[in-house]
Amino acid sequence: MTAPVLLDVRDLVVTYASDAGPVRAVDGVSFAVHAGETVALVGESGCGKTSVAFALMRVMAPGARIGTGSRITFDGADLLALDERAMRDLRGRKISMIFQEPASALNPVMKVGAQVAEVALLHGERSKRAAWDRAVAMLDRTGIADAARRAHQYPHELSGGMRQRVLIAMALMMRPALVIADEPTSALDVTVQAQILDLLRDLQRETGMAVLFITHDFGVVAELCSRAMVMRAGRIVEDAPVDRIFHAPADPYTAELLRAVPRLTADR
Amino acid sequence: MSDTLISVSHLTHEFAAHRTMFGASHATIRAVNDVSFDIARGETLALVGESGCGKTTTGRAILRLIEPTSGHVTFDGIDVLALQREPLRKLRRRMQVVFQDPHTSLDPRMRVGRTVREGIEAHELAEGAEADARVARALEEVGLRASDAAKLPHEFSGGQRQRIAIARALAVEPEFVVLDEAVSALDVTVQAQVLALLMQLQRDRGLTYLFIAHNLAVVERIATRVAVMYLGRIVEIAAAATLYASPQHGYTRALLSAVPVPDPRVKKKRIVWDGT
Amino acid sequence: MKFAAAVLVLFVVVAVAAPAIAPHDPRATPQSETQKNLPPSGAHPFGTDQYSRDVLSRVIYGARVSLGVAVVAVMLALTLGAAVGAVAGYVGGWTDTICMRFVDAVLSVPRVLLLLVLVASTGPLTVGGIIVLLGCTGWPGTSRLVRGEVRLLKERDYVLASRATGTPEWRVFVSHVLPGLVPQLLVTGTLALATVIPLEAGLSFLGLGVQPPTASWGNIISDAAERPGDTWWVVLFPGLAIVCTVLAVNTIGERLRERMDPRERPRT
Repeated sequence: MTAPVLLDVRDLVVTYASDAGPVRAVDGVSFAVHAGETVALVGESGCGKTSVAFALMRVMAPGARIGTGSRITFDGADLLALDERAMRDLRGRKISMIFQEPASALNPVMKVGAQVAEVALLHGERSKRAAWDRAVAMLDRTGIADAARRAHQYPHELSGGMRQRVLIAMALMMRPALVIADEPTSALDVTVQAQILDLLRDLQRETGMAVLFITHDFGVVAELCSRAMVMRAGRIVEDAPVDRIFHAPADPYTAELLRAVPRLTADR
Repeated sequence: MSDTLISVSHLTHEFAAHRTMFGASHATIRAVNDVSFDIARGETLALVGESGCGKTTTGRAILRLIEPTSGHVTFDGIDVLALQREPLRKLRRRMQVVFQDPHTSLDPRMRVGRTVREGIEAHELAEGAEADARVARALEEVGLRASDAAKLPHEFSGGQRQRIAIARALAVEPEFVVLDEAVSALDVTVQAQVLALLMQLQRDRGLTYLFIAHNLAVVERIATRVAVMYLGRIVEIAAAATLYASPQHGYTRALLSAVPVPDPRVKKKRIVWDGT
Repeated sequence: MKFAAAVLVLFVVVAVAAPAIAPHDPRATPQSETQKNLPPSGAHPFGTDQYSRDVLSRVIYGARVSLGVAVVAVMLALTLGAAVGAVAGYVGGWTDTICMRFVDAVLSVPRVLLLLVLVASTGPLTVGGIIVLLGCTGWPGTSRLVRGEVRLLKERDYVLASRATGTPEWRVFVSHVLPGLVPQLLVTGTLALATVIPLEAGLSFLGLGVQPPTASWGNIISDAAERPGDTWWVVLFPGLAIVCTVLAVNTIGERLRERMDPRERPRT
């Protein structure tokens, strides 16, 4: 890997307050993401993968805290040292996030075009007209047919797959260097999932963005990613190129997970 | 073993798209449209399709958890849709259901033992200590402990809760179980365990399953036959081996090609179905 | 919350133990002119009214009547409301339509107006009569809430699962739907107390509620002399009692609502 390191995470610890004292959801995680790379963070529910994503965006759930020894360096800047204003400026512009549930991540009473345009307006675009045009262009780019008309519609008028395309348009509007995708296809039907994966792959090639793909699904990892990190109980147990992960997993847990993935006999 | 346990013919379910002030409806949507199939005793019919295709509605109509608009359902020769309330209730001992989400299918306020015991009491299968023993046996059979009966659902993981839901269904010793996306919400490792449990129970008890799912890869191992549903209709129904080896319908092919391959060396050709 | 609970407990204790606490007979009217309209003093901490009665004792005994009437009336309203709402919501169809149109009709008349018209047509009422009146005008709101809750609960998977097991319908209702209503009823009931206490006080103040010489917080106030400004203590102390109870009850109701809500969420 010759590309420069874009994101460097060292000893990330995230704790949640609970009745029985603080619980470590993320327990000392270190990894790097290079520019233009698509990396998977794989694990089962409750392993802490989403907590990692939220920590990177610095959007924390109530009661959640990042450990004092943790370091997150993004594009040379110390993310944990930035003030809230600088962080707001970074979010959406240089790092953005695609969420799992397009139904709840979109504002139900706002036209989808306006929601995409808002991202541009938040990050320097002065003209509403220009922002709208950029939004339509972006929606078109994410494969929404008849984007100029669709932009005037509300989220409930769109299908699940289409809503996920809107979220992707919002995330990619400012051409960020890093996109964190948190289970972006898990709520979708398989045929729609396949389309969204194709779209993400195309966009990644086109823009050269790095993608941190958070998922529980090894099938999706194999389709999209070049490297995978397997997470269990708050720790990364294996970090390797996908070919090695799938064909010579070093960690027994990785092997167990792989065995459990449902696959068609025809695909074996 | 080809004697038919369940026979569904021309099952149709419509619901109102809009309602007026007085409850009358103008437009209707056909969630299930002229669906027919048989399930033989001891086999597993997988009913596969994407969200909104009508597969869950079909399962619920067979159990009469909703009243279908028209069609026929017979269970072991009994006309299910014609049954009065009490005979229907009695018949439910023989046909059970496990739902998708074990977080919503267990009453959060009810102890696990009482949940499992409910059916045993409703059908007067046992009382007192004998009922307790049956609850304990049901829990142990699905891989839980008898002492778990005293706990509340939130004390269990998702996979364990699904085992409780299975124990509830099996406690009344049914012949037929509708598994409505029963493993879809579980993590893959847990999913594999629960699937193995379901297959084990089927072998031990000669159960008949209607396995509703959205992922063809998940049901391949358990299905005897597969029915693929699209927009309320069954577009293809065939023996599992035949369907996976040579799918006939374009939609089935598209569904199969969309299943991601957990191997980066394999690049599968994706088939897109345009809906014609 | 703790403070509010303490205030409420204090009032309840005072109400229950009234005969032991009250320094004077609340109805005793010494004929001496010198005992009339006395300002607060050591002998009469809350002063005396125009009939020379000890206001402190009247407020203490008034707590019994005012709180007692409110609690019983709210319980009556809850029972009626829960019954109508549960039947309408669970049975559905025409039963539901008829019940809810009737509720709409009752709710379209302001409750105070309804109460005034009813009292005007019946004439002065006994304490029991007031309870019935307040209870019978208080249930429609509750029935609407309960109906909504029942309609949500009866669609829950666990209700469906119980029915599918072959549990008789009445038992499905009793074991799965009814317990689910308890938090809602608790919150509604507490908040209803906060409306019924001032309602009863208002009626009694107007002479339409609890009849003298029985003391209730409302009619103590109306016993101020013609110019209440001159005998402020007769107005102030029962007024404070009303305000404090209502605030305490409202605070507790709001906290209960906050606490009950997250528990109902199926996922954590």
